[in-house]
Amino acid sequence: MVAQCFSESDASAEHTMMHYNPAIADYRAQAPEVQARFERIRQRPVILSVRDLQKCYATDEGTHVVFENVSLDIHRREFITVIGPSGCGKSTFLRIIAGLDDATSGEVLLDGKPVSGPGPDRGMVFQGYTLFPWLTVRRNVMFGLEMAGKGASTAESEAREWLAMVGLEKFENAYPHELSGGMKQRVAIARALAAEPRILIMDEPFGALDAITRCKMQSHLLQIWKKVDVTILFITHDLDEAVYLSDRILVMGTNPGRVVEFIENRVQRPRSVQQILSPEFLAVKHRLDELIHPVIAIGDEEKLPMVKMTAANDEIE
Amino acid sequence: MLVIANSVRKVDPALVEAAQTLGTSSRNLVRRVIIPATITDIYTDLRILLGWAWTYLIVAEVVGTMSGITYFINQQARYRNFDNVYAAIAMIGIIGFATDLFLAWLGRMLFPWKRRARKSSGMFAWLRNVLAKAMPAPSTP
Repeated sequence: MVAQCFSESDASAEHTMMHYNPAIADYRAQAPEVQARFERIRQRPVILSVRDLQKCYATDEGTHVVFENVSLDIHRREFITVIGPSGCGKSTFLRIIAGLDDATSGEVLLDGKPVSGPGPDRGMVFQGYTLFPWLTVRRNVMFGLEMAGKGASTAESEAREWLAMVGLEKFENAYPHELSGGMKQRVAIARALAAEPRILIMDEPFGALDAITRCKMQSHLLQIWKKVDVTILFITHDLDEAVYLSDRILVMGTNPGRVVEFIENRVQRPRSVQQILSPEFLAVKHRLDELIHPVIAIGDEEKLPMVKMTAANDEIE
Repeated sequence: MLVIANSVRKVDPALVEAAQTLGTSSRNLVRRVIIPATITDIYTDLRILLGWAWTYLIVAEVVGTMSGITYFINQQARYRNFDNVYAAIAMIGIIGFATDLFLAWLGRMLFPWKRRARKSSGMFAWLRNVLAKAMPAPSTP
């Protein structure tokens, strides 16, 4: 990957041109701090390694390839987002890493050891919360600790600490149905982290939340990630979310599903909401947009076969 | 048995998967996830089945026995004490209804997570709503 130098004048030039053509900024140009940071990340040990992963299933018309040739290495405490159009197999990919699905060929190594079946070393947060409705918030967080064989009093005090981290210690005795969507997802994150996984897999965790809650949850997640020794693999279909959260972005394509590009995100840390309009942010986002929605020739856009149901002269455009 | 098998089949697979990613063994999976997830459905099924059992009991009493409430109905009908007959019929209904209400209350005690929080619901919700409209709370100055 070409890493270009980044100077003050470049930045201002980019900035003025951004408003007219966001394609001008190079999504690969990294500021020296960002370069140094990626260098440090590369020196950390590899946590998760995926080798030539392929998933197919047999249908009536023959074999359907969900995705193929997926290989990647993820280092300790990296934040990876996975993005791609629907049907690129990103959810299946994560489910295989979590051990909930089996790969057709290839292997997944966690700390150098192949994984088989689900286990507490790979925590998972689902879009649908999946809290146990019959347990209180505290008992939900205690669940993984109890499964690890910890005593009730240890599990209870640890659960309280995790709830304090996500800011829900006041709700420890509430049942999940009494909480809002954002609160439920915070409990789900606390529950997954309490089992102290090596890697936390999140499958569109904020997809069901409204825009404002989602924004709060994103900055919340970044704060949690800073404080906990955990590597995060995060699926999303929201471009802003992918850029805002990640160190690297895995872009997947369809037919068959494959890795299109593994982008090093040049946006500096610490992240803030103001960066969403910065030239670096827009450059990366524009690149994602290019990869996910290939340019459609003008006039090629899908026209819906629609009968006009208004008066002849009543135009709105 | 069939009823239980059906309830188990209805367990959300995502809950099972969530438990697995938290390191649950298969033995614990049954004890800590499948049973609690199905117990309320099974309880509701049992309530419905109890209603059927009550109906069959009454029908059986009509044909066979020499004691009990239906025997009493038949006997009083022969003496043309129809007031007693109707009272006994009403008793059948009241006993069945009261048993069901008791079981519903017991269910709410046993499974607190099924309780809806501070929401006007249940059998007499409509009545409460009508009363609330008829008698609006005095507005505070």
